[in-house]
Amino acid sequence: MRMFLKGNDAAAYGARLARPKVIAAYPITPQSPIYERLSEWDGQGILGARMMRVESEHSAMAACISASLTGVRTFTATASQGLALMHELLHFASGMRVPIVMVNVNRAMAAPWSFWSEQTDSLSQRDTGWLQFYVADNQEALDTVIQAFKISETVLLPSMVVLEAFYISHFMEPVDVPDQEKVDAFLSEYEPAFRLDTKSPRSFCQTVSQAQYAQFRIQRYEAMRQALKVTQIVDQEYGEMFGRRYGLIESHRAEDAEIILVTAGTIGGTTRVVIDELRAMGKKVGMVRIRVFRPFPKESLVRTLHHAKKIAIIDRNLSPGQEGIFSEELKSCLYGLVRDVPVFSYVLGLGGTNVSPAHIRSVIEMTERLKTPPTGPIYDIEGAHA
Amino acid sequence: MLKKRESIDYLCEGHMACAGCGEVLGLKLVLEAAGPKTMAVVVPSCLGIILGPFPCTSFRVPTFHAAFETAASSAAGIANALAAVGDEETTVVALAGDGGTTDIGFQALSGAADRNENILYCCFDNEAYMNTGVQVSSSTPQKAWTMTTPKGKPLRKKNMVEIMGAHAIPYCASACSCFPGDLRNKIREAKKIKGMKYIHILSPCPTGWRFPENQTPTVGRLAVETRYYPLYEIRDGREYRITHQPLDMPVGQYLSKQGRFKHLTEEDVEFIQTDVDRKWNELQLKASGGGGMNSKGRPAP
Amino acid sequence: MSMKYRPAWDPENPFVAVSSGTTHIFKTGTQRSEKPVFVNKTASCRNACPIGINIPLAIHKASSGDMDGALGVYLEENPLPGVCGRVCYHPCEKECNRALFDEPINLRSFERFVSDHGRVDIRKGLPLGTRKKSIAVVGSGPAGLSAAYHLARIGYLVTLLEAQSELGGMLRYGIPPYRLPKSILDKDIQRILSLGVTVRTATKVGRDPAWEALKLYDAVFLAVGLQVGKNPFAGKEPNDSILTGTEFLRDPQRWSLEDENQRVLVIGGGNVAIDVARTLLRLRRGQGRNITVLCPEQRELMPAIPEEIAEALEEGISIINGWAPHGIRPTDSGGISLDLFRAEVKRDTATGNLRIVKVGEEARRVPAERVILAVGQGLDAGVLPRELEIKRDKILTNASKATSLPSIFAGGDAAGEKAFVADAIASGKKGALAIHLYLEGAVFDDELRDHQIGQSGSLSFQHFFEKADQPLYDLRNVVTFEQINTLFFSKKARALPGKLAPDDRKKAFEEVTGGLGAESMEMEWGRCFRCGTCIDCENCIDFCPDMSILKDMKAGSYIFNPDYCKGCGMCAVACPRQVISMKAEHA
Repeated sequence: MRMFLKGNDAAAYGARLARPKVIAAYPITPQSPIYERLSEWDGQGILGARMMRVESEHSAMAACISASLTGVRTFTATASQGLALMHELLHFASGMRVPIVMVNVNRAMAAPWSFWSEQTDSLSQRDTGWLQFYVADNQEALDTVIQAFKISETVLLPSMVVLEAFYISHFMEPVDVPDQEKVDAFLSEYEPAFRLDTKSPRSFCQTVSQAQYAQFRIQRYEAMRQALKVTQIVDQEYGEMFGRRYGLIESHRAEDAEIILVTAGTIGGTTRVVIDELRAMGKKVGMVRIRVFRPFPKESLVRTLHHAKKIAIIDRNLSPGQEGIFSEELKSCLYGLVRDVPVFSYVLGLGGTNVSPAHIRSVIEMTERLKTPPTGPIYDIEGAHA
Repeated sequence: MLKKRESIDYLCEGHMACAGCGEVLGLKLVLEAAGPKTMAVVVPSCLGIILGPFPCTSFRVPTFHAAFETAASSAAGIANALAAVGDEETTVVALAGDGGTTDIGFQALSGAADRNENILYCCFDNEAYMNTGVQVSSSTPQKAWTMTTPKGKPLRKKNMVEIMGAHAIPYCASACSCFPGDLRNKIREAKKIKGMKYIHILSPCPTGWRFPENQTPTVGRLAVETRYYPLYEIRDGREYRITHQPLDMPVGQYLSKQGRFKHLTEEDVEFIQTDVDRKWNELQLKASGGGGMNSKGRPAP
Repeated sequence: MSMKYRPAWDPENPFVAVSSGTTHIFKTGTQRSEKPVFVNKTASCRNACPIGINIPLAIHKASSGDMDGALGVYLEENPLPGVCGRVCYHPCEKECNRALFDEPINLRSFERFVSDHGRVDIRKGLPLGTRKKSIAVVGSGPAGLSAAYHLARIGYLVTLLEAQSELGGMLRYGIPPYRLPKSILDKDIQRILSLGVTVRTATKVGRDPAWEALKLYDAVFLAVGLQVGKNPFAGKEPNDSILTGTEFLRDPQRWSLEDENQRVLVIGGGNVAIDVARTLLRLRRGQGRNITVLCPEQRELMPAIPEEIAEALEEGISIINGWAPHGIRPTDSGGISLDLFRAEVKRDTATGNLRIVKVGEEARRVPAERVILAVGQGLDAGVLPRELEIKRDKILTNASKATSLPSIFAGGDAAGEKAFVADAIASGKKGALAIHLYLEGAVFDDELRDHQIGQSGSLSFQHFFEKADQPLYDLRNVVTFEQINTLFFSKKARALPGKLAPDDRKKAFEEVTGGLGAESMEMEWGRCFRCGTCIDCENCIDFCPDMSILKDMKAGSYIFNPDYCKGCGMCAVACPRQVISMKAEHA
């Protein structure tokens, strides 16, 4: 059914269609409407899940982990401070190999207080062993939530589907909401590989030795590596069922581009428009939007970018003591595999400031102009961060 | 002729508790009374060590050793998952130490109580962070020595039983691992109730309280018989019932048995006795329905 | 299709920390340096009981609903539980450890209850009549009855010879029925006789038959008692107004003492004197104004059981303390008057004996119609074999009850035993065992050393003849109050049996003291600590953090698991009754 939905609602529909049995959540701007929509459906008796209206995000994640270990599909959503509060348990969830799906609405981290979009909250969690998907619009949000359940339940690692505060969460767009029967056919009932079971009583998560720990960590790493393949397969299956697929990365007119602009999230949408404009003017430019950040799609990126003369990357985050995180990750994956293509690292949209087509054009113009990239990130594009 | 022992142990031999451990006595009784259809959550504490090193466990019920602050929230997650699949029979128990309950786990516990989650929460109170080497917790009694309060803890013990009572949960009780019959009764009582149940189990610790390891039964009994630690129940936050009439011995008899109190002066002991007396009188008043309310929480005629 | 990429789950080789084994592989028993030892010990009450009855075991059985078993415990040592349940002076209660906690257990009422409610076929499992040796028991008082009982149980052919027309000795002819109803005495005696004891009443050995007749027997036990009431005025009686307490009690109706106007002085401060006074009161249907007990002892030093004295006073009997008679003379009216001097009783520092001492010069003369002397009893030596050595008016015996004549043993009052029923019964048992060992050619001390209870000298028949599967007992080890963990008990007042009201009871011979009802009795035995006796309370099991105390159902006792016991010793402290002690691991 086609509906005119905010991004938060689209995500909520995605969650409801996946039929989780336990949802634990705590409100935080700009996630609260997801929680409220789910609660509304709960009130109407159509949610199908037990809603735990917990007293903090830490408890939300704790409840999801143990509920998942009891053998049911679980879901939660949060943002920023809430995600940070969950930090210890994010490690726990992936350590316990539970397939929780969480929507995180990218919001700037305090201090100081801010409600608007920035990627730092989720990127800070990149080492916790969760899959991370950065979506560009409301439709992709809904679709990725459903896909995430299938991927997670296959590789047995938790997923977070990331949407930007306000640009996705509160913007309304037309969204195709799939039928429940089709989603049921795509995503069957959750069958846990292992669970707490009174008929076979075992203890979960005891203290392990150094060697045992190392082994578990290696196994988790391999599972995350496997997730690259699984994500693609699931995406393909989704495409066959629902007619939409997204891939690990979205590439737009990059095949013969000389300058390729790499980004993530809604900036990708803006960039797409500018690329088309510049192509119409004869410039050989293209775009790559990184959708799956964890596991990092190294091969796809190398394949897509290796022929570029210059690469410009835009981060909506800035890691003190380094640079934009997407840039840092990209550079590391290009190292040794792609001949010396200069990478120009730009930082835009910090604190949720708008990234306009003019900014994108400036980025491309600067990239054309500069021979070599400066040592640090470029964040003073004219008119940026205003 | 001996009668056949009816109780079944859901805890295995071979665990690493200290010799003379008062906490594992209570754990054993809780698991026994909870029975085979139980799922347990354990958090870092002495219980976490007693659980055993992977892959050998001492628990005979499915158990999850969760993050420190999450005894109540993890247990609630399990309870909701079970309810979601229609399992009404399995008992979910949260087992935490005093630190994991009164300090770092307090928020999750209060939240679970507020939502009346269908869990049985048992706090095994050995009155300090014993697993990590005797550091003070908010459950350490006033004037007790610990490694981080070498001159004695300046302020009083947090009264968890009253705090949980104030949450008006269906069942809340104080128990002691050295009163096995009383503890068993309370677990069985709690099992009958759907909703939040809290049992605070005083667990004497020879290692941290500094007394010979065979004296645990005596120290535990004295705690109750000197009225230092009364055994009682609170239902729905209003109905108080004292479940054991103490022998009414002077508190000095309890304190003098423990090295952690050996620095106390006579004045200190008097101070503690006055405090014990006052609290006991208040409790008796509540249990008799006094203070203007009858035992059902309604105004007395 | 994607599902085929899911990792396979193998619980023995998991990719998540999920357990696959238990901590049983860790043998924590290697930690310990001490181990628990489970041995029953002697309770302080048993230590005090001359008969050595295993009282806590009886209480344990009663409280487990096995009243017959409880009676069985009594009957292992004591053939007269009905009697003792009425008249014993209960030294057990005096030593009861509970007395130091709140109040002693009402053990006499317990014995009475068990005897009244339990049913036992004492012949079961006994080798009755299998030993073809025959033993004569002379005298059927408590000592003689006890000896006959135990000898019959061992398997000997026992003949019980009694001078009076009925069995019982002082139990029938001394203790009045308001203290010991005849039906109770008869019930106990019938039980003894059911073992197949041959009885010859109205048979005074020494007169008819002569002593030589007893040479037919393989051994003889003399329990002839002290039948002769002492009479310091013997030969000087002015008329018939003097009789002894023993004479009176043997047949109270014979002496025409019913007239309440007759002034009667009862001389003496012991049980006999009190029994005489209270019997006379009942003969006179409660009219006691002319009955006076007179004794030299101060009230608190009177040898009579304090309860008896109190009951007598309640019934209105007047007791005058601190006077002793030195002379007697007839009066014109046909009665007598007694010359009294002010006296008190003092312990002789040299001999340790009590003796009457004159105090000051005060004197009185008291008239009376009759005087009943209850100033002690003596041996009727005239009917004993001449060669039998007598010392200080008692048959001389050694520690194993042997007299100076071979194969002749003696016990009870006649052999100088303490003048209480329980002591007499104990001496009968000891005599029986002594005779048995003599006939077996064994040495008394060697054989019975291991069956001595505590430090008291009483013996356990049950322990001597115990079968192999009895729980372990360390009989010598007596449990003191300090060893009881009183933290496992709550205070409770002692239950007291009802008594008939003094004004009613003094008119007739109804039993004065009742028994405890079932509810009170249950509450009362619930108070018993059961010192030193494992009652399967499982407290040690509840207090073992390592699940290392187990029940050996076959042996009927508790054992510990050496693989896991850490030797913490909590069990020993948690056992409220000192059954468990910790011993060094390599001892």
